[in-house]
Amino acid sequence: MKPTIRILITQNFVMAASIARSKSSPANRIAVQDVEVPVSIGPNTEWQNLIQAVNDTMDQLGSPGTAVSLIIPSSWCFLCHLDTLAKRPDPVAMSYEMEEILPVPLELVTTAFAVREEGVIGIAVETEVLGKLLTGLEGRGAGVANVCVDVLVASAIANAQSASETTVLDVGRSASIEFNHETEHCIHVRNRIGCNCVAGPVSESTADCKPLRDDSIFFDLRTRPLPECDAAADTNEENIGAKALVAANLDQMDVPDLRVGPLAHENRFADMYRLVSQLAVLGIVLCSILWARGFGQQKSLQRQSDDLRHEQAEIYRGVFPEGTVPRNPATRLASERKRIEVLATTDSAGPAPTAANQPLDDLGAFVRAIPDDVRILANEILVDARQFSLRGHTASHRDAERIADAIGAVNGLNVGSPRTSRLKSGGVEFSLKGRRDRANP
Amino acid sequence: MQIPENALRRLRDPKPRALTAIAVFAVVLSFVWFQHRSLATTRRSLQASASKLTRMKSDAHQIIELQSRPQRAVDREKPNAELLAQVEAALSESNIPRELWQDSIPQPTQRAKGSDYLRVATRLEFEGVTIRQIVVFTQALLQDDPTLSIQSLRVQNRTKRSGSIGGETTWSVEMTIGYFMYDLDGNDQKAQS
Repeated sequence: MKPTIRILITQNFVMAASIARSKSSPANRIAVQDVEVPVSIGPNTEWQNLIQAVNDTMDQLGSPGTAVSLIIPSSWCFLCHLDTLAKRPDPVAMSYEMEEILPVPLELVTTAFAVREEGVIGIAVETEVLGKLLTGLEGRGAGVANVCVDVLVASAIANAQSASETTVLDVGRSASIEFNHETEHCIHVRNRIGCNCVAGPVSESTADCKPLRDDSIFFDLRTRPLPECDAAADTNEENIGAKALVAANLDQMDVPDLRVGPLAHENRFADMYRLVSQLAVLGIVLCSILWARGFGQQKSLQRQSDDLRHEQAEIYRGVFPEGTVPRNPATRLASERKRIEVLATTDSAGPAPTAANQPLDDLGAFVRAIPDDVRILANEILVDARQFSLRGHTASHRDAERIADAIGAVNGLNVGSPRTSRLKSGGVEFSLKGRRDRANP
Repeated sequence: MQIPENALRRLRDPKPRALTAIAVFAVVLSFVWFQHRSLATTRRSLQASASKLTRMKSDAHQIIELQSRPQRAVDREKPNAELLAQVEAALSESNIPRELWQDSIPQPTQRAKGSDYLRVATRLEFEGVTIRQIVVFTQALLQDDPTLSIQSLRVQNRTKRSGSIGGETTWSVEMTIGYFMYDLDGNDQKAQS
């Protein structure tokens, strides 16, 4: 997003100006708000006042909730000069080189690099610390498009004007580029030579600092400009100040942007990703609850299964008191039932049920059936499941027929007519045959 | 296991965090799904076990009830010596002289018509026995082994050898005794349909 407002943060004020998109249209409006800006920043820095001041300046400009270009004090950053001969230095390699100079781990900072003829200027700012400011500004509706460092903006302006040296004054800076030993509180950016990282604090003396050379540019950020003046109207060549920074056309300059890497602007899908994350976490929690519940159910089902198995074993032992319970007692019992069933019952698969002593019973029935007044001498009696035969002697043909009729009256027998032959010695020899009735065995 | 700091820092970004959360959710969801399947399998198994238990109770009840009934068939062929021993025991029990028992002739095994049972029979031949003796003998024999039955009886009055015992007429008796053997195998070579 193209920023429409540039905001400069110095030690004792915040300045906002609408960005000039071309040389012919300079910045028209400027808003300034006094605020105490921390010289250095850390995890405990309170940003509320600064954020409020930024919003107030934007409100004064009448452009709330717009994209801004932010210029931060170099005292918030670590700056150093890196010696490299490569024409296109690798940012990753330069980061590792910078890590040796930084007082904090590389993973905790966001780095950017300004490539100059004399070398590379490396900038590093603590990601989490500055991130809080950016998040706070965006939470108030000011989208931060890019973040630049004041000394490098000043350096770029001076470079564009072919200045040999650039001096930026801002009392109270704690970390900076190169120490000017003549004026202890001066911060000196050398365009041609570069700069070195310094670890110690700068004196808070308010003594003036003169330009070191005739062709150097002098930026005095101590002076709070009047809002009604613009940069073009400022004729003090020795005191360009804050207006020059906010009015600079950074599109034409090589100014490193710290809104990269971990501090990069969130894309429009960030909210969607957060929502997806929250839903996924909710899903994980629900699944965990389901899993725990399922675990309990599994235990309960296992107990029921064990109880059933125990009951099956008891039933098995009730039938087979001796011996061990097999792995599948149900199959064993079913097999045993079928075995006993076919041996003990007389179902349709078995032979026709008959008395074990049927032939003798039949013989007894025949004898009882024969009339008392009939004399018979039995020679052979044959009885089985299907038939019977009787051969013997009687007194007459009539008696033979009476015997046949009597036996035929026995239930379940079909008796044919007797075959008789008269004997010379008297009497009749007869033979009688019959079949068992299938319907009444 | 120490998680690399780079990885932890990367999780601050919304997109990697979302992807990581989705991946963890997918893993947890798969665990829950597998657990659900396992539970369903366990429930089915439990239902089957409950059905099995019901069948077992029914089978056990029937077994106990069937065990109280007299056995009508056997599941394997008896050795011939066992049958002859039973005959001798019945003769002894009924006080019938051993010498009256003339012969025992095994009969061809037949399949009872339309059933899964085979009829295994032996013909016993007695000489000079009375009807009373035959009745007592068969009672003793059948009482000792309820699977046995008298399948046929032939009583002959052979004039040459007829006699009497205690005033009763004696006979030549051929008695076929046998038992049913349960046989599902239809290829029994001994069987005759």
